[in-house]
Amino acid sequence: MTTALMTASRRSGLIAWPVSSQGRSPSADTLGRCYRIARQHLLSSLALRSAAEQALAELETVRKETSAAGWDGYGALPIDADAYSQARMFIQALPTTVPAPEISVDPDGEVALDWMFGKSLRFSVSVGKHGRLTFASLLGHRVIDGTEWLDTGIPATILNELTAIATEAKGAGLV
Amino acid sequence: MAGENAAPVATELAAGERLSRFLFGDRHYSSTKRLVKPGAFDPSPYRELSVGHTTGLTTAEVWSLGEVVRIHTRLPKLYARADIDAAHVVERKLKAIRDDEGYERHTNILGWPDIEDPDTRKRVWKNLATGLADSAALALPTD
Repeated sequence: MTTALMTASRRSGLIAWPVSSQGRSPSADTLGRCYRIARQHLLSSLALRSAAEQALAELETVRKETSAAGWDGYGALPIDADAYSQARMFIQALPTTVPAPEISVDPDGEVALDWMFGKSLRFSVSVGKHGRLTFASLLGHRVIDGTEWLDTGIPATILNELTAIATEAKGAGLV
Repeated sequence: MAGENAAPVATELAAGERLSRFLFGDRHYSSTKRLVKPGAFDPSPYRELSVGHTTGLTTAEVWSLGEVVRIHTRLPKLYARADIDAAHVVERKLKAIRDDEGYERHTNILGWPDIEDPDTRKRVWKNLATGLADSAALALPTD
């Protein structure tokens, strides 16, 4: 079977945005339908839906606030329409166990998602128009940065790093 | 301070000098967490980050300077500012150059690595902006 649906074994689980299926067989179609139904059931749960919808609603507000050049007073570019779309997919693919991010726009028009738990305990990812994910994380004195791509869902590198920081924050009573 | 008719002379600011990034929206900081986001210190799409040199000013004078900057931006409201010691700039191999251009005490943070590959440049600059944001202290007009 060639279906490439995101499986429940992934950290992002069924709620994640599905990876584009390469499958063309009847089995792949059936699995795809089942996946969509299961995902819809999960999204219809108020607890799960509210976090994702809250972030998406905030993204929409940010889009309106940053639609004109110079919105920051320093000549920032307007939010990039494709970066906005990619950010929507990123938010929809976030595992339900991850807290909702704070949303803003970088001065170059990319969408920025920030998880700030405290001083030197933060994760920030910028979502670019082609799905480029540029991230930086601070965990005490440990500083990590990197570049990943959204094309096959949220990369494990980003989920692992975000989880590590969120766990640290929870242990410190910051969540 | 430069005299009214004197040509601005660029001066590099050393560790110990205070720089203030004035924020004209509420998206680049969290008032509840008292933290500044990397976007506040991201110079892109340019190669310089505009700040004010606020060493020696009283709190009221700093906000007055922010008001001067706000008038330049033509935006309706000054929401907050992010203060940072120039030491954090210098330790990242950036430079704070006070030039008084546009208004007295205007300063640019320069020296952002000139990297041709856009992916690498974005990553390196985001790292720098994140570090600067984490080192900054948020101040609100209501403080």
